[in-house]
Amino acid sequence: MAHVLIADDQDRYAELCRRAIPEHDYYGPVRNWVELKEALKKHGQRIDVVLLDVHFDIPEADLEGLSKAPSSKEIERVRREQGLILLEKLRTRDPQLPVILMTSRDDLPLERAAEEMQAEEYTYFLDEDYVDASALRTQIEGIVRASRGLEKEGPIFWGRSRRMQRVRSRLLTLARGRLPIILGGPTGTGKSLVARHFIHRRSERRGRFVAVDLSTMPRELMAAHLFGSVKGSYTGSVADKKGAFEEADGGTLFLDEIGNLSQDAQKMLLSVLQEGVVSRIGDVRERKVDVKLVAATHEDLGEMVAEGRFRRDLFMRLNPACTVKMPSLVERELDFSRFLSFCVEKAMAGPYLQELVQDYRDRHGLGGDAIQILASDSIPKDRLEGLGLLLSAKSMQQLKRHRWPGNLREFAMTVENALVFTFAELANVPGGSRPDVVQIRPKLLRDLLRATQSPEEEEGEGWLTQVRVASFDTLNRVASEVERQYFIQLYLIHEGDFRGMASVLLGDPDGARKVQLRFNQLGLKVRELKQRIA
Amino acid sequence: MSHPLFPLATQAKHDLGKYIAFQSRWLPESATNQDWHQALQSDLLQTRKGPKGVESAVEIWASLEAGFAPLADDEDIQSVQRAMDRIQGQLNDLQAGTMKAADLQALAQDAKQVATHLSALHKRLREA
Repeated sequence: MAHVLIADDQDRYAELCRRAIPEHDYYGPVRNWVELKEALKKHGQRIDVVLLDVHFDIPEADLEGLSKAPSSKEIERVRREQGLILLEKLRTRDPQLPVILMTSRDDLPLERAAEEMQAEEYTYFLDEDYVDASALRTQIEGIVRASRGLEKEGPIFWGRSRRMQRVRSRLLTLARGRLPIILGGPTGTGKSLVARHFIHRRSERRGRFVAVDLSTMPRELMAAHLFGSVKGSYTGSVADKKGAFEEADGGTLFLDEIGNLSQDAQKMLLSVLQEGVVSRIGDVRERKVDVKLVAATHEDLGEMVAEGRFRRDLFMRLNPACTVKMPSLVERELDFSRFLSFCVEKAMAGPYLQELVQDYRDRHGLGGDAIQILASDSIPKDRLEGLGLLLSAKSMQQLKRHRWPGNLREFAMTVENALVFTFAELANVPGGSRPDVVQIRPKLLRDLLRATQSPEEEEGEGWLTQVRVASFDTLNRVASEVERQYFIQLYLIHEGDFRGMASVLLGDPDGARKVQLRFNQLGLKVRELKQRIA
Repeated sequence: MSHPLFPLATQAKHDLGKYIAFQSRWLPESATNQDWHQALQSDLLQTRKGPKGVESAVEIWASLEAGFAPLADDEDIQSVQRAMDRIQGQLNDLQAGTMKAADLQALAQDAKQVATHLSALHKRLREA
């Protein structure tokens, strides 16, 4: 099922879609930019595709793109092109939202075509001369499949942010090459999932994927574990043993927390990378190995080199120029709601929760598999077709504002815990008047978050962040520096979207102009920061 | 440079051509007589439906045809006119819901013909 927003000056498309393609959820029709903006604000995260008319026969006051004193000819022209103007405005707000333009490509006015090309990848055409229900159905399904396919890759959550798309395409390129890959980024950001389910798969190597967690392994055993050993080479070595390198021959070896590697093992690893051969501990024989090495670390290896804790020559062999840093959950705020849905879906696949939910559905006669997340303070008036999980606005805010030191992993666990406790509690409770809506109690969430909550976080609302500020000669300069760093962080998180920054700073995306003005006053340069995003 | 009547052709294509066979074109082969009645009633009697109210195909064509007077001999315009005349003659039966299957098919064919000729006219005038 897809969520389709219809923007049309007439009711006919909306009526027809609801009747002829009832398997999707439709919103609208919205008839002008104000209504479109409102609908996106309300349902934006949920919308999979926008069905956008081109000719809007609407009052002059509702038209976008008119000059101050338009002639009747201009008004007519703008009416005929209103959909393209809305598309342009939509693209500044959400460059990646799939839009089906209800016109044939041939009918696009030439002067608009260039602008339209900017969003080519996410803009589709519905040639109204030939379209029928099955053609539209196929088109919607194709778009949804393609866009959800981008988001999902087995258990990995990619989301739709440009940053993660860049990470993905970089990894795709690196996966096929023979050079090692360093995966950076804080704990819980999915480094091992990416190594196993993306890099190894995309490397097209036929050998095994072998993972070694160096954070839990005694240092004295590391070398034997990685390179193998012969009987009697050390106390307790009772038989010849293959190491991880030999096990992964022809495949991928994932070394998690490589910063923990002992000095001896570092030296031996360097030799394997240089020569492409491995010698078991206590053996002089060299064995040729062909392994794609993926090394993960939450530490800064460059810093470790500078401090003498990691060999420079090994560091250089690990291909540091192509390090891929997995962003923290806080840095992926744009994808927050999608990640919540992803975690709910993933948690629901677990057998225990599946059983609890099925039992709940059976007791209350609820059909379907669909689970909808409702971020609201009230229960929707209409009965839902599937099951709805109600999260109060405050709970959503709490989830968004939490620091998530354990990142995506911690978030996924919190969601699963919240669901398990909620449905377990409901197991012995008679249903109320609306069993189709299950509320995740705010107190339950608070309790679950408390374990990793910092004292500052408990004190109040708002986004917690860190800044590093030196001394200055005036307090004004100190304040400016704090503000400057906060703006930089927000700019990077929102990938340069001032509307997103305004939502956080002023609670209103329409304050973007004010934010941009302040941004300039603070001496920040878009060009420099854009390079950091890239 | 397009024909001076190109804007009118664009309007005709959008206001009438787009919606006159809108639902009937979407009907599956398995559609019943009742489905055809409903679809054609919607397409021909409620051709445009929005905040401004409801307009039928005949009303929309009436507001446009005078503008096409300079093209009175044009083949597409004549085909549209002939199809609209036939449609007008069937409207009472359509409204009453008493049309036979063959007549419904013929009416749907006329609606489609209006859409096709308005589209062809639009294309031709754009390139003129």
